[in-house]
Amino acid sequence: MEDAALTMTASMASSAGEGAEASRLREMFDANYELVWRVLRRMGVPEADVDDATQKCFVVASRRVADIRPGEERGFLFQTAVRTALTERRTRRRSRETGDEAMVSLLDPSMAPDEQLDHARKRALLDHILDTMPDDLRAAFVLFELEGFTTSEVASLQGLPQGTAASRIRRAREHFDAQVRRIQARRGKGAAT
Amino acid sequence: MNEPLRIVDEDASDLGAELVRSAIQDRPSPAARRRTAAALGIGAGILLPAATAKAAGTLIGAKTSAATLSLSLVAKWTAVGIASGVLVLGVGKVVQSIPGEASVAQQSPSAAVTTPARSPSPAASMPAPLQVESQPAVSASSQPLAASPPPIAMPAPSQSAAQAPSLAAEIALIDEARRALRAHDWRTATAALYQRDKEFPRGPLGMEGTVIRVEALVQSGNMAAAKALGDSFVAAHPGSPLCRRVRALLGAGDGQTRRE
Repeated sequence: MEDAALTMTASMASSAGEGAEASRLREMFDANYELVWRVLRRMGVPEADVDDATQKCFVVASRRVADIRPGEERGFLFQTAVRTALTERRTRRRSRETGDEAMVSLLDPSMAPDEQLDHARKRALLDHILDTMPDDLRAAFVLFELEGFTTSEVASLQGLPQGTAASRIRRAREHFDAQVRRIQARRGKGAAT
Repeated sequence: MNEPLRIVDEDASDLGAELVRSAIQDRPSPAARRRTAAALGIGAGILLPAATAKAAGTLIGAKTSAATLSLSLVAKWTAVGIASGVLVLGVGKVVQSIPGEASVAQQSPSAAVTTPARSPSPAASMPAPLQVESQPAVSASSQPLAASPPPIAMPAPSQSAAQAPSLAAEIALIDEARRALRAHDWRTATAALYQRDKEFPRGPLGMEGTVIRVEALVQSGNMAAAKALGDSFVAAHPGSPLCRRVRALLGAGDGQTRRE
């Protein structure tokens, strides 16, 4: 009888704990689904695979939810997303040929700038530029420039000292600006010929 | 530590800013979100995490690991899946009501300009992101005019731009507003935003225009209107990276008010 009572108590406690974890998982999902999706996309997961990859990240989170310290949910999901993206890219052995020709092919000098820069084209061009960026800079760039986090938040999400995060943001920006200048120079050259 | 200026906060006509902006507006489809929530068993919020992980694992990868489950597990999770599926269907209508991008930007954003002193409606401050379509962006009730900033002279829209609306013209107005705010000239910024709203009421830069308007309202000292507009923006676009910008602006505005 005593054993049965103990078993029941343990079972109830376990259910309560699991209920709390389900609730926490739901909160993590609601607060971070779009962020995880965009991080995966901008870290190089192809459009066709990004929904599945997002799901994988949350499956990982659901298995580890008890281990994630309160307040570190977003950082956990971000780092899971980055790892998932890198694995996806390695698995797929995506082409790293992101030279100027590939980028310039996205820009047709015969078109007016407004027509040229439609959303799909712009996103494709951005992805090409990001593909040329080292992964550590790329992650910092995505968080700071695309997701709007502050430098200290970027540092916290990546588990870095603030100075390192600031340096990565700056170098990523320099890399991005240089690539944009190169594209513009090529475009100008293409339009002139 | 001073934050570096972000690319989107610089010249909006720059190619780099265009590229970044295209990604900021990128978002997953509501259908994909629903599928993932259902796979995790949190569509209806009833399943246990350990179970959901396994159930979701089988969904993702019916490609890889479904065969490793025992028959009893398959039967168990199938039953759970059906139960959650029914509940997900039940909430499907609510999820579908997650608004599109345009709702706040198109909720007559110029209203915050023509009557600058406003107070947030109770609905605007309620955390009900799934039903934001029914929330007013900013309430029509007004505070005493004596407390509001001086009226702003609104320029008439240029005829050529009205006849041939283009993204370039819209960008130029957004740029003008940004430059003015950098010079702490919120009146010029507000006038440029008003012109943008008039000429491009459904333009692609509506969300950015709204965020810049929040900043202009903060600069003008009209925190009530800034908060109302900012809160409704965040409620309508909870997943947008621009929400962080809005929260930072409202936080900075609060600090400014406290210092004053």
